[in-house]
Amino acid sequence: MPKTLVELKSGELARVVTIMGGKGATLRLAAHGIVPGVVIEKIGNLTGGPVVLKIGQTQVAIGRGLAGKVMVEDLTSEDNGK
Amino acid sequence: MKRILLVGNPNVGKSVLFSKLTGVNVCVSNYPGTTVEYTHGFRLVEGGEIEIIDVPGIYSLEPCSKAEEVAACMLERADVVINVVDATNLERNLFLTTQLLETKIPIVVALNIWDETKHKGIDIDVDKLSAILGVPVIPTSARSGMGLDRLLASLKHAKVVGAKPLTTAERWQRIGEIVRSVQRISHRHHTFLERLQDASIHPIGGYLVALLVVGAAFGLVRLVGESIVNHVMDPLFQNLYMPLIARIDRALEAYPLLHDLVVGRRINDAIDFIQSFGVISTGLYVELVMVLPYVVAFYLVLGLLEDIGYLPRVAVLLDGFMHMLGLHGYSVVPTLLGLGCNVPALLATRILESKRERFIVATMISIAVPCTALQAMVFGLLGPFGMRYVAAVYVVLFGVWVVLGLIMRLFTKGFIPALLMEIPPYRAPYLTTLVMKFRIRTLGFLKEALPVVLIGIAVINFIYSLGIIDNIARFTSPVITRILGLPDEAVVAIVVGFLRKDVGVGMLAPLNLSVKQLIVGCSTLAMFFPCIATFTLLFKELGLVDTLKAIAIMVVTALIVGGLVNLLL
Repeated sequence: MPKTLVELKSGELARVVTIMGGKGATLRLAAHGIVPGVVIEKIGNLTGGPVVLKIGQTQVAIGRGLAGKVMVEDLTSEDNGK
Repeated sequence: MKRILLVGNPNVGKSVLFSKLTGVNVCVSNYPGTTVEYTHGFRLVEGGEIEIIDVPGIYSLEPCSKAEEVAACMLERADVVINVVDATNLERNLFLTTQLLETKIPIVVALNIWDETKHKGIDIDVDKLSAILGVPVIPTSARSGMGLDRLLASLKHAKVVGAKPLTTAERWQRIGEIVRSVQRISHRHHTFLERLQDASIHPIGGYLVALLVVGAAFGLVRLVGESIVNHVMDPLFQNLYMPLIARIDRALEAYPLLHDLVVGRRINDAIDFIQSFGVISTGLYVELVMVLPYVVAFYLVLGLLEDIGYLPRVAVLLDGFMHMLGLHGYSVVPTLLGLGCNVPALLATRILESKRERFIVATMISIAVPCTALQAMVFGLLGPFGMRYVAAVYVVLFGVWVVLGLIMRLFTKGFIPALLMEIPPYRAPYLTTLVMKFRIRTLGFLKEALPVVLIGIAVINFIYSLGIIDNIARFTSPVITRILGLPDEAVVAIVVGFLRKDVGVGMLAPLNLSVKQLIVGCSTLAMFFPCIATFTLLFKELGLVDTLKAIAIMVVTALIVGGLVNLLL
């Protein structure tokens, strides 16, 4: 089941499935390497604030609104056999 | 002359590489027709001089912000591009690299921050990468200077690849293939710096770290500033400069007009550095003794925080809070700069993406963010009565800042662009760039402030002698006395505040104000009309209509809040 980056828990690995945004949002995210197919790790979640991800060797902070548009599939839960 | 462009993502050590390649002879220029700045310098290579240009950091050639648009335009005038790549972060950086390879410009890749790949357990096959990309790839470490000679020598082997354009999805797929075939990462334990990195954006720990950092920064600025004032500048002025002033004071006795202009009026039969208000007495003392030490201290601490890479973390931490004010986290950075001087702060608002956001941040900064010069004077004036009174001014201004944000969010249309930013790893500060930045900023302050202060004081003294001030004071008396509870003459301070806020606050000193009046005076002065340098820039950045709007908001805010503080205290 795809979920958004906001719903993903900290410390979990996930693969980006789609971006439910316009061209501008997609382009901005793409320049930071957030495109369908890429595996990311969620590092943190500030209350009411941005989501922090690790992509490759970089940490990226994504505002909550934008993070809600990035759909991912959870790789950690699948590993647990859920 | 050949024109070499340094192109790369933000935070890849491009500026350090640039300063190593060009040395000290660099200038900052505006790209024609825009307000985006770039630095350029020169270097001799094999007998010929080349021009090296440091292009603003970009993630992609498809422009998303003004800086990226400019970078894309600048490419058209390049003879060779040095693509600066962060070797510890190959995958993300190759996005821009693969785009550059599709242009018609000869490319060389500098694989920078090479020295850190070892600590990070990253192993890159450079020859293989060069073969795959089809251009020279040179490992460099700008800080130590490693690889720079090889990089310059490789310029003549720069190649146009003219690769087939890819879609975004194809591009990332291609990058994945490249990275898999040239890079090996061995697993290793988290270093201390990385733990600290995680702590500084932790939901609870992050705020604790931020409080500690801000507290320490503030304390350090005060400590350094105060030490310079008390142990260097003030003794210097009192012991060495005062005798000279005393002689000039006596020499000019016969020419009262000139006397008052140059050394000012006598207070208790002698010239007083703070109250006399002469060009070479109070003018120099305020700027060089009361203000400059704090400006120096602020820029030292700010440069350190910038170089370590802490500021983006504050932006991330405060993003949620800033959204309540209709802004996103990155607006924190210009705002923090504003605590030094509003001028560079307004310049920094250019990185914000929407016009609406730039307007809100610029207005909030010019009203409610006191610059170091102003703060130093507030400390000087209110400090002797007790720190809680100084704190009162800060509380008032912070309250105004929050309320203004809330109100402007309601009244300006437009959405809040989402935060999206890289959080760079902490890096040890690099002395050479630290010193370079510090020098540019401090000299910039002196060049900006000193002439305005000296000329301003001369003009005010002149107007005083003509009696115009009394007329203005009579005219504005109802507002100043009834609303703000200040004596009529305080209007002079407000008028002078238009030239320089620090001098404006300084003019409250001889008025024998009560603590309450000082708090009202200081906070009103801080909010009222921006100083002339800020005003000019505001006009350039926002245009006429928005500047007028901003000024209207300022005047109204200053009167309402000043009046309220007067009523409530």
